[in-house]
Amino acid sequence: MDTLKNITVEDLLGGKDVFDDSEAKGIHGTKSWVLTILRQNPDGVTAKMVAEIVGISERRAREILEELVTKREAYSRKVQNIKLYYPNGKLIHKYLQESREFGNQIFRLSFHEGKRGPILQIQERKFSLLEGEKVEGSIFVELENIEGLVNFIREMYERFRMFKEEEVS
Amino acid sequence: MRSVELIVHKEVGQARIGEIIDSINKLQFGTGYLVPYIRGAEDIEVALFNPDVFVDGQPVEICGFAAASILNKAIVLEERLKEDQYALTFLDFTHNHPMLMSFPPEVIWTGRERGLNHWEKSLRRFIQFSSPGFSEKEIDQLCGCIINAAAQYKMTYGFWSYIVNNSFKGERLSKLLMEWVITTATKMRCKYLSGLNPIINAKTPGSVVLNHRVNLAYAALVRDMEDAGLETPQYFYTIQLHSNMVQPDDWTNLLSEVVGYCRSALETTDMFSGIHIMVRNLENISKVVGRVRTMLKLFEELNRIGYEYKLPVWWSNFGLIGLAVLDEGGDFASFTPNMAIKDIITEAGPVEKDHQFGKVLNIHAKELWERKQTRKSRNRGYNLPKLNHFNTRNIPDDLELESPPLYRRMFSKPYNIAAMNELSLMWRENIENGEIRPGRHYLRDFSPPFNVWGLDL
Repeated sequence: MDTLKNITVEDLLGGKDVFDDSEAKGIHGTKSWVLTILRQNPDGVTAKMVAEIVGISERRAREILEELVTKREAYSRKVQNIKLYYPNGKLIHKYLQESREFGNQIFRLSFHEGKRGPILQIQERKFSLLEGEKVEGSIFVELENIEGLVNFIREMYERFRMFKEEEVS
Repeated sequence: MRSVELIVHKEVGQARIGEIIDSINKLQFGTGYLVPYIRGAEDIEVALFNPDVFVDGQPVEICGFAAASILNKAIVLEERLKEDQYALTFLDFTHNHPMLMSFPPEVIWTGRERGLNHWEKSLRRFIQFSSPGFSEKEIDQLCGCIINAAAQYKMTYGFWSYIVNNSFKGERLSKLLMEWVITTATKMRCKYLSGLNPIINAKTPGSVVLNHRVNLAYAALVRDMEDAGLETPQYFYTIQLHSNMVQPDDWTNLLSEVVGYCRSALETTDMFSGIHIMVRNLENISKVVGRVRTMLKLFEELNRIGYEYKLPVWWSNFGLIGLAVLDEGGDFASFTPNMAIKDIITEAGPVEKDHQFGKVLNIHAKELWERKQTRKSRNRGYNLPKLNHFNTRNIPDDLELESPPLYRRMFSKPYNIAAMNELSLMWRENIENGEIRPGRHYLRDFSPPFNVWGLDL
């Protein structure tokens, strides 16, 4: 079957642009493409808009957008009966994202471009056998507040320890 | 982005001992090991209840087609595992052992029912995560399309043409399938992934290029997801060879092409974190000395590429032959707990009760023992050897000797994992002492078909 030689990466993935062995231009996974479109449109997108660009059904686009909302990658608002989805900042660089596991708790820290400057996203994740790793919730901290927040946590932790010591004595 | 780097600490001949530094997953673990391959539900049960037969932190290979069966077993056992102070839950196991997910080629190539059943369960289980937004009916249709294509195009490449040329609700089947592969590995907490790729067959030379492009496609998808901040495993360049690619004393142009494409992939991109190789029908290859010599050259060629690019080379399902792999510079060689070197997912086991017990490795006698030998030796007080590094039971009890599942789960599989790890540690000690090719030296007087891998016949 010599025709196998003619099956290209674009054929396999449906990329539109030229692909050479060193650059994966125009190659997108569906979820990452939706996320990219979302991040390129800070003024918001609808499920229909995303569906048209990606070439998937509106229901599927909505499900992916909702999943991104659950993961705190996006948030949604209803404007005159139309649901708009907005990005929760854009990851600055993949190097600036890391997960660490503390027993059963998994925290992912990542730096995003926020509206007023860089923000730190702290995600809490949990692993379950039924659903795999899942986002439980997340908070955003502006860059200038990170140190203050860390000190605040230390202060509260210290207060807790003292409280416990007093309780014991 | 390549996050894996292989650092070599000791070299003796071609063999090397070192460690993997994985900067993304914040992992560090040793190389130069035989590693267990978890094929399905029974194997994961053995692993979770017997963590002491593993080397601490050693990586493990896991079958992606059987992902749903493995996870279901882990769910069923979860409460018992939590109560057992010696056991590990699946989550704890993944903390202790970095996992590589792989997809053995025989499932698509042979289209056998059992493999497809396993696959269908796993497709249904994980496709809701890789392709959200499909209704239950659509998921049924999508799984049906893929499984039927695999059942229909046996021993040809029709499956690959079909998934490339057909779409489901506007999305190419090949892309949906690859996204499923990546998501399944992520959901199972696998840090590393070898793809669901076409087998490379000498009768279809175009399969070499097809496999290379499938590898590039996976790597591109993984990179795209990584760039978007989504979780992905690190992808290994995948090579799955039909046994007809290995001819007696004949380094064919096709083998050169396989090696050449692998080298070019690692040279031109940073998208691959290692090389993963599987070869079908090693038992048949072992019957012809010339084919074994060709395999040894293949070890040398591919291991050298890994060495040059500081990436690990992982040889899948090589059983005891893994010792020869390590001698020739491989970093990991996986073995199944039943000590077979046949396909990972075969049809239902043997009907004869005696064969259902499987085999157990005697590292001193250099034989694989059947139940009757184990029983006979027990009666004569000449048992399987006690292992230096692992405190595992070397004598089956009466109940186990009567029940194949009990014998496998409670005795032979845990013992085999411990015995293979014992061999692995002995091999490492020999290398530390500067011994050349200790693995092949050991195999030289092993029972057939493994003795041929020591050569010098």
